[in-house]
Amino acid sequence: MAGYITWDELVKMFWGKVPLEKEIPANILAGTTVGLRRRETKPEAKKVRVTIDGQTIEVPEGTLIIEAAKMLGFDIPHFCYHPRLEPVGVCRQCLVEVGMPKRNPDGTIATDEQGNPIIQWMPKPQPSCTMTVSDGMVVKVKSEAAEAARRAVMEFLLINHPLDCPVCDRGGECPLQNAAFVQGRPYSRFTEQKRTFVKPIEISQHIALDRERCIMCKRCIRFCDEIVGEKQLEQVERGWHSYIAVAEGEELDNIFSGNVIDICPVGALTNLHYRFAARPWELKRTETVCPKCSIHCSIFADCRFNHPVRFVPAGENLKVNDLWICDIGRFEQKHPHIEHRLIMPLMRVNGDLQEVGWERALDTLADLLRTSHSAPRAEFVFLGNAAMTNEEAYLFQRFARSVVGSGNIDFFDRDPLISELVRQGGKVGLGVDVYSLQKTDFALVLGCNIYRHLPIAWLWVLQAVKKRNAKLVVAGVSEDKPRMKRWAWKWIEGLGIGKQGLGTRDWGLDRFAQVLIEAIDGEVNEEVAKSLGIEPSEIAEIAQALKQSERPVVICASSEDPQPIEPETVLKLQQKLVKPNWDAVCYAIHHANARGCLEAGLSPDYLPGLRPADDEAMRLVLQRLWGNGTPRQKGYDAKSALEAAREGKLQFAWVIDPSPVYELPDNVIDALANVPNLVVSASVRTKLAEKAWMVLPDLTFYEKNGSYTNWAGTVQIVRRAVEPPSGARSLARVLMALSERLERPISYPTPRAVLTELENLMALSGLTRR
Amino acid sequence: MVREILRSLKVTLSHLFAPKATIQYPDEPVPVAPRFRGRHILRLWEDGKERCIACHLCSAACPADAITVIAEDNPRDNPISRGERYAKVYQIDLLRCIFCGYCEDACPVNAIVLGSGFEFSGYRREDFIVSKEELLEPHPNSFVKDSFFDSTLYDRPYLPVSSLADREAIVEGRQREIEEAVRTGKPPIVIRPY
Ligand code: SF4
Ligand code: SF4
Ligand code: SF4
Ligand code: SF4
Ligand code: FES
Repeated sequence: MAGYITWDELVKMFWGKVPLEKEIPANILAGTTVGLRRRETKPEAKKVRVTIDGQTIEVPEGTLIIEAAKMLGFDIPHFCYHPRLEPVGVCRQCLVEVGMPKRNPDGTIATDEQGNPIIQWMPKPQPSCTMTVSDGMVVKVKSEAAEAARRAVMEFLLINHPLDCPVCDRGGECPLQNAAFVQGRPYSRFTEQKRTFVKPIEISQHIALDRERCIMCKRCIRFCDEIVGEKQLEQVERGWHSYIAVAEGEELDNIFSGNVIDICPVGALTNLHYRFAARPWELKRTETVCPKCSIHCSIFADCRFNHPVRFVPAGENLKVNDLWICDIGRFEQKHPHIEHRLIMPLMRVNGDLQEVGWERALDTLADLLRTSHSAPRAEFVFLGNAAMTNEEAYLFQRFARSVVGSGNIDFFDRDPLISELVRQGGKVGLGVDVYSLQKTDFALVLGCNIYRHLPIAWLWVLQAVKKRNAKLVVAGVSEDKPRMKRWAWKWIEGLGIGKQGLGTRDWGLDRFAQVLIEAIDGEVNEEVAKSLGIEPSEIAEIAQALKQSERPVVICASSEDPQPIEPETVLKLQQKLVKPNWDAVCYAIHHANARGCLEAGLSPDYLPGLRPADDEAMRLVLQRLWGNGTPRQKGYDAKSALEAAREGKLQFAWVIDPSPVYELPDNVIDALANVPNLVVSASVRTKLAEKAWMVLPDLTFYEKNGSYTNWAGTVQIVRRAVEPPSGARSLARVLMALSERLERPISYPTPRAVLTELENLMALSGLTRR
Repeated sequence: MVREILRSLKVTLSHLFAPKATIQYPDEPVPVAPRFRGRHILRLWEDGKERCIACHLCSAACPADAITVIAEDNPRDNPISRGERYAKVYQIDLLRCIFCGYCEDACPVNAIVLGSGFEFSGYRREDFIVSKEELLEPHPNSFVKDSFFDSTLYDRPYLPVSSLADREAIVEGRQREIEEAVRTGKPPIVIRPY
């Protein structure tokens, strides 16, 4: 019986199926209702009493019957109702019997002889998802008539449904399947020919549509329209012929499009990348966060054969992303193929990278670092990255500072502008959680394409614009204009975009911000306004709105954007616009855990807790805590270290490669290639690793345990979804082993212990986290 | 006394000429019961397409976790199965298998059936992992296992094949079943859920 396939080969084939470049993907939650509709019930809303199958509950006026029933634990089957979308009542699956108490002509409730109110039943069952409760209402969910009505609807829904569950990607987590099992008939009475379509068709580069399976609940259409604000899907034809299609002249290309896969209650919309990769019951599901931007949506990483096959939103996260994630986090995440993984340290021997044991690698490295006790420390440079967890960042800087005694510690993509802002007394990021952005009444976006780089922030700002008539002003953004401009109250462009470079003060955007600040309390500087090409009256109008706003949001371009705003300007904005209970004026942070790394002290200027590197009090605390002093003088930062490397002045650099979360640019790699003793921690043989003197196998993001701090300071847990290959060691383990060899041991039992220590230090410096 | 001896001899002699119960295994094959559960067979359709549509239901049903399936998009120009997907990998670890037949019950297209083969031998554990190619057998003469169910119920194109002709065939087949049911007064056996 030859020709069988080994486990390893199976795993490879399986992975081979998903091309490395655009791997992964998406859906759960499907039609299942997650929580209740988050609608605004005014505090003064009247309470009404409603009786559902004999149980009475008091709910605010305006609650839907289906929601009131949910509170009592009745799960009324439903397809078109979704807690985040407006009810439309098209599927009729949620029928219930509804009765109202009979009223006497004088308005009192009529009672029978026993004093019970007389109930007048509506002649026909009513959809519970569109009907709001009213006082005294009586609802029957499980009555014979209601159940018969729902069974009949189910039979109707299934007449054109292909019932191909065995080949359907939704099979196993399909609301229609579940509902049919609960209340469907055991066999079909429908003998006519079913409606057929070519199946499936690709409606975008990520999503396939199988129109046969669609039950016309229109959730997908409503999602695009109500939540994303782009009418990209529509219903074509009418009645029995109707089907879903991409709207004419449109493309399904909004950045939240993947969510329609999750909310489709059947397998009509499926994920092209995940297609047939697994069945839901085979997936090992881990709740973690998405590392693709600094929002950190809660996601489930679903793995088969120890490899993530799809990423879906992890239920409700009411601090960050609620039920939605963007397509970048859903479709564009990479996890390296096991074949490419490093499982042994590599060392350059005679010009070639050769595998050596961990012991040898660590001993060699320790020997090298030991000289640091005598040699000038400026030679030793430690460079992390913005994808490290808080714990890794903290340990890395502790290792550099207290074990090696080097102040040359930084991470790639640390924003120097933010550090400068902090030095001047400003705030790093948002002071309210990301989800609260939808409470804003005025949002000002200065030069940062938040649609692309902070998608969930855009989503919440958009909700504020759509649902609360918040004013949106976008200045100096050139990409994705059609998507954003439609919602903007004022759209300001042509502010000298393209001029780049630090330290120049005549940038249009920064100027614009300054004029605006002046105009809030004073006069518009007409001269500057004219030179920017904006009407002074327009600036005055915006300033007026800003001034009146109770909850202003200002998102400023950081150094990743084409036209950054100066820290001084941001500081002024923060001083003017931060209210005691509303603090949402800050720089945009683009990279994963940049805020967390900065707060963990992974920078030459700041100790943990954002205390300056020469803050004596903090240094004393750290000395007690760590047992060794920390260098007072600031060392190289990433930029100057790269410069030094380019000039060949660096002897030793330890670099943590952020791949696969994001890639280092080539010029960085070229500069670092000049360092003779370049130690690289990487999970695969990246370009940088090829240039290294020593490569230490590292874990990938989905193999780490730890925590991430998002743009708004919300700390969330990163959980191990994938078991790392034996041979790869976490950075923490490597640092601890090295510190022991250097006789200045660091030891923590768990990542949690590191986080606790870090949080204590932060609390000490008056920073709190959520 | 002689009578007694003759009587016992008669018994002995009658057995001498009676058909033998002993089977000269392995020179002679051992007959197995019609519903014996032995080595699996993955059946094909008459036209040579695979029945299996890689739904993973057998592997889900398997209490011993013996089956591994990896599905793949069915190539549209040259379909391998009749569904939207086919099994790129299908293999069974016979050492794990407990021959319970659950996989057979679970299969919506009667692709996997337990055959009569029971002679397994090998030098390594790996020798007992059988691949899809080894499991596939042509329809219908390879195996007579459908007697338990009315095989005609299954021997029709799998529903998701979307050519109109196929659909008509389904509808027609269904019509015939119903006519048959009306004629005989016996309800049609319908295994399809709804
Ligand atoms: S594709 Fe899905 S979500 Fe859209 S209408 Fe059809 S069933 Fe509903
Ligand atoms: S918004 Fe950001 S954190 Fe959320 S899924 Fe997209 S990339 Fe990931
Ligand atoms: S016969 Fe039973 S144990 Fe063997 S493969 Fe089938 S389900 Fe698994
Ligand atoms: S043998 Fe049957 S149950 Fe198993 S994957 Fe194939 S079609 Fe599904
Ligand atoms: S859920 Fe009420 S009509 Fe669809």
